[in-house]
Amino acid sequence: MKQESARRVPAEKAATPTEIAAAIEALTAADFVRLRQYARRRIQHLGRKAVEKVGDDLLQTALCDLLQDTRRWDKTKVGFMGFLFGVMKSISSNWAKSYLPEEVPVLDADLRKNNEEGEEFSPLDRRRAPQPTAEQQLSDRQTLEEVDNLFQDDQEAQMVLTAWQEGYDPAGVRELWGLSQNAYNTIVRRIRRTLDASDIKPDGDRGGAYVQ
Amino acid sequence: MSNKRTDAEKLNFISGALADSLVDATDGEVLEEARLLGLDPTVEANRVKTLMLETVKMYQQRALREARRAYDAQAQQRARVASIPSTPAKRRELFSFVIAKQPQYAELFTAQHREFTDLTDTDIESYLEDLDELGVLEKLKPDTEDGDH
Repeated sequence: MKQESARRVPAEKAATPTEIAAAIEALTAADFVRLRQYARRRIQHLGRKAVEKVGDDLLQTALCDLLQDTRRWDKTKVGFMGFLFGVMKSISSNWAKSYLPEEVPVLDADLRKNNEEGEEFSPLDRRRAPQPTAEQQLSDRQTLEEVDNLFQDDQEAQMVLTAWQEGYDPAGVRELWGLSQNAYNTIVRRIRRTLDASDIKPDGDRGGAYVQ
Repeated sequence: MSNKRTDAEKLNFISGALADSLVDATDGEVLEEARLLGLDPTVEANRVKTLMLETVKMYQQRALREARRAYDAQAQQRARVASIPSTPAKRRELFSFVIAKQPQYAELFTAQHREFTDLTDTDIESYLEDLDELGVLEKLKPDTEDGDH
């Protein structure tokens, strides 16, 4: 019997398709543009792992998951926008994890054999812990240098970017550099717009290390 | 700060932070940045709204079609069950009537049973269900009603 996660929203609390349609109708123009931009950024974040998917695909997949009861929205606990952001982040993360650089039309079990020492191995073992190629590493380095050059005259942006690179979340960055919420938002807005206006795509894809 | 992160990880963190920063951006910033990308925010908002509402509509229509199919299948099943009499005697009577009217089906059953009298009540019920599946009972319905079966 299929067991539901303890975290799963109970069916009676989950929004119905009619409620979902009403929630969409209630969104503002800025909300729709924000959803579009967020989906676009998430797809950019996937880089080549997005394959041919675009932002609209991500948004539609999030909505379909909700309608098909794959994911449930408890509207008493979270707003519709917040819910969609979370679902899009989760779906794009799953797409990244399930990405294979090329199709492997064979079963791992079919490839398993013993080496000269009698140890079982598979040629796919190496794929499970792929190392970035020298070309990828060079590309990553160059992209980071390009980002750095782009903000060489903007010390505040450099501070935020450096903290991001180390995995700090927004609150952590503000605390690290003693920035107010407003100051942080202003710097981040500048980073977004400068990068958008450039050809640099920090898509986080060059390591290619997401294979399951 | 440590230098343990790979360059790929650093880029990954930057792009993730950029995406998440849109959640907290003001409406004005979001609309302005769309304009800077060459988009008309009004057109784009309408397009996304239509896309989302169409997705819901398609799902609801599909759900309705599936519900209709399930209802029709249930109705057919109920009609089939209703066309088979509820007592063994009546079912045997109907079976004999059908075989008399449509003797070609007798071969199907006599291949397994030398005489119809050998058939158990369960056999009769099962064969009537088969004949119903084939639509034979439906075709003979006016006759059976005339014959008061």
